[in-house]
Amino acid sequence: MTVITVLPFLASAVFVMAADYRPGPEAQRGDGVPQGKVTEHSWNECKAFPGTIRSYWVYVPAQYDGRKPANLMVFQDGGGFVRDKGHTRVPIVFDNLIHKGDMPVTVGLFVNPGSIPGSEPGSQSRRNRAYEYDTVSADYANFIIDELLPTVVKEHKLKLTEDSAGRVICGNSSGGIAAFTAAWYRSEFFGCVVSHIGSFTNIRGGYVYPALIRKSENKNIRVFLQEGRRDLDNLHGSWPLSNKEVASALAYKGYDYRIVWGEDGHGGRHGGAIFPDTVRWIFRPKAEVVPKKTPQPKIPDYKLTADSMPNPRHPRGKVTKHIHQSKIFAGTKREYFVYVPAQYDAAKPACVMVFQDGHAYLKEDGEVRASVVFDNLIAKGEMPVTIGIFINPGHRGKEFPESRWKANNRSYEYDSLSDEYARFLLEEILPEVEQDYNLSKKASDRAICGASSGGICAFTVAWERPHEFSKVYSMIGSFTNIRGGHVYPSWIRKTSPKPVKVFLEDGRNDLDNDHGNWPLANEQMASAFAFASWDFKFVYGEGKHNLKHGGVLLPEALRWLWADHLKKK
Amino acid sequence: MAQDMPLSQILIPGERWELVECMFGFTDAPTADDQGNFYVSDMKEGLYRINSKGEMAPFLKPIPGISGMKFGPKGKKLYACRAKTRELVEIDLQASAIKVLAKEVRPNDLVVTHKGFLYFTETPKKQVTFYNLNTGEMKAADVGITAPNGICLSPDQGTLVVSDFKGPHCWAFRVEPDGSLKHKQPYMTMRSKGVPTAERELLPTFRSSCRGDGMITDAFGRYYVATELGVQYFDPTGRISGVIPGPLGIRGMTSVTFAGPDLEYLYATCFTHLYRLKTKTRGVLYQNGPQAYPPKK
Repeated sequence: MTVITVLPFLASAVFVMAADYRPGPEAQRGDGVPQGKVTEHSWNECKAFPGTIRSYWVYVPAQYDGRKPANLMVFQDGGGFVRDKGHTRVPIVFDNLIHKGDMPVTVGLFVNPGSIPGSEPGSQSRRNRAYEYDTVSADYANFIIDELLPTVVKEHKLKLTEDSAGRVICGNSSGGIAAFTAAWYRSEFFGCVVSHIGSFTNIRGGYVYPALIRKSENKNIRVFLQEGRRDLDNLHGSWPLSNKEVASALAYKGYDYRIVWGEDGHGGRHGGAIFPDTVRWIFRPKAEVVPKKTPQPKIPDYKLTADSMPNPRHPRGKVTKHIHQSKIFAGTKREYFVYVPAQYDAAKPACVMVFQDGHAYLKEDGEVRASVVFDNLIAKGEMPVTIGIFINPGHRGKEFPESRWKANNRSYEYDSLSDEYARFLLEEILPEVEQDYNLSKKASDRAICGASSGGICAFTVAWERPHEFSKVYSMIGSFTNIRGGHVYPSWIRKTSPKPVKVFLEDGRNDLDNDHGNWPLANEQMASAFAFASWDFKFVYGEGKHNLKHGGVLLPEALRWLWADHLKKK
Repeated sequence: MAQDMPLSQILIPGERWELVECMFGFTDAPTADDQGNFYVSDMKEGLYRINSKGEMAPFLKPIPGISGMKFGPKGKKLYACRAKTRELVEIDLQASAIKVLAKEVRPNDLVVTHKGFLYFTETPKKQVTFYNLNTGEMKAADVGITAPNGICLSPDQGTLVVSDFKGPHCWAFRVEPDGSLKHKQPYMTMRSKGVPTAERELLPTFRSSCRGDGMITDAFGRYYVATELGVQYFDPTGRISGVIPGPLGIRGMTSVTFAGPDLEYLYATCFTHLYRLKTKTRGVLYQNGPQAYPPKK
């Protein structure tokens, strides 16, 4: 009885709590709180962005006396932040917090994005917001610091702090990434960033920050990020995943940063609701960053299935070894192995599956046991008769290194954003194997697989030659910035879908290093495939950077990738 | 964001590039009229017209060497860049007569506003040149883009955009009442191919150019540019919004335009081959005058 009456109420209460962020008591006018002065201005002779016009507002707190230098906080899309009835109500919050002594005396500068009005009635203005905010360059910071601010200081007779820790830049959405960009390029000026629902996505290349942060010397900046779990997922990117990646890069490098997650979508209300606390945090005294200790992960003991065990009833294929000297990767040589199933019939073109780091897949007591899996699945009719080509990475030098993972041309071949490796396969390796075997040349009959850098390499081949390779299995794929592979999610979202099936495997405890965060990078790939309607499957385990989980999944991946062949029968 | 313009607004699932013709010497200068006709130049042979029924026939007497053309105000005359003879010409459709407007120029591609302001790119001179059809006045409108190539207008004809064949940007200008171009800005950045480097860099290296060539706009204010990666398009705020790779096996793409009964086909001139792709969007004809965008349906 009670359940029936209470449940609807509870459900609605939960909904309201999740989405109803409002300005709190510190964003209301209080009795006896001195009010600062807000003045409105326009900037119509812009040098940094010629032809643009814009409004800006200056807030000078009542407590500012001209003797002690004040702090500074700059806001993008300033019109939204300065309004008394807006999402954040900055002047009211500042009045209250300065009065309480919770923040230093701080001048607010609220700047709108520019636009170039049409030259005649009927012609629309050229909106400059994305250009100013989303471009990864110093241009916007230079405009604020070198062009606008000197005039503001002069006209209002202001004395501002010389300490970068007292100069904050804040914005929502593209204004958020603009705040980060300004501090990134002019960290000697802006020491603090507040980004709400920041667009660290590929609007105009902003997806690079996680990669840039990881591989650049630390800047002297403090970063506050607010993001919502229901934020945008569109052609430019996934906002929640991209903010996670920025936070992960800041954590990896030991920055003084904080990320606050809410339940909202792409709006200013959550950032506005928590703004008083944000201001207290951003102006708090210098704090030592204590790296968080991550607890030892519990990783399941992934066990191979019967499909990966030799079965005496299934005939075994033969493996032969070859040495190849490459023309495209001039000066390199490598071994490769050709697996030919017992069912191969020279009269019928066989399907092909290429593996990078071929040495890792053929050990019969190894983690992947590809030849055993092929024997079993082909015998059971769960995959077509397929010739496996297991190629090692290229090496320059007399002797191969003991560990073939360390072949010295591996990263160049596997991680580069180019079609060289695809051409190497199509112009060198496949023709060589085709001299001995009847291989199908149809894209639907060709699959490609690899792990780590071999995984991104497999994807790159299909990306560059979707009409030659249509099936990809990537394990623990390095879609990170080893050589720019972090760009793929952005490219996938803004490119016509390609006729390629992708089976993507990764583990939550995969690598987090200078090149990137592997689990997040693979989540970005899966998220981009979903947005762009690719035919893909993402299996996310708990594993580290090894072949265990991916090896266990090989039979499942093969059945899924080759399913189109089984239907035909 | 309401102004977002993903590929799903353009592409029709299942529709692919369709080969229209492959007998050209070198094809370029695609354009359209409001009768559903599509026009294209074979640089070696002359002009062709494809009517709304898909029938192709030579158009006018053979005029070889045209690399860019558009109709003038109200579609009465055709204006063209004759790259080979270094002439800017006016073609009278009724009389089939050619009038040379300017000699000793290096025209590549052009656009004409409803006011009779003609702008053409002179790629080797790094110049965009203004020619006033009303007065015959000719002057440089912009100098400095590395290799100005494609050229187009926003649907309201207030913004002019030029692609750089040897650089990363498409440049936006405001068209002034007197025809001069102002407020030049590298408003759009094209995607280009990665360049593998022997050493690992901080960030990947990309080619400085993706061969940005012919351009066109649609009724929603999107800007399209033919590049070596395919057709790239930008929303009216300059944000790259999609890359549509070209047809399989082409050697390159020289230009794009919308044509067809509802201007719904995106035509791409690809050296010897001409392709088209049916889309969900529709083009805009500058000769019909300024149009507010996005259209009110």
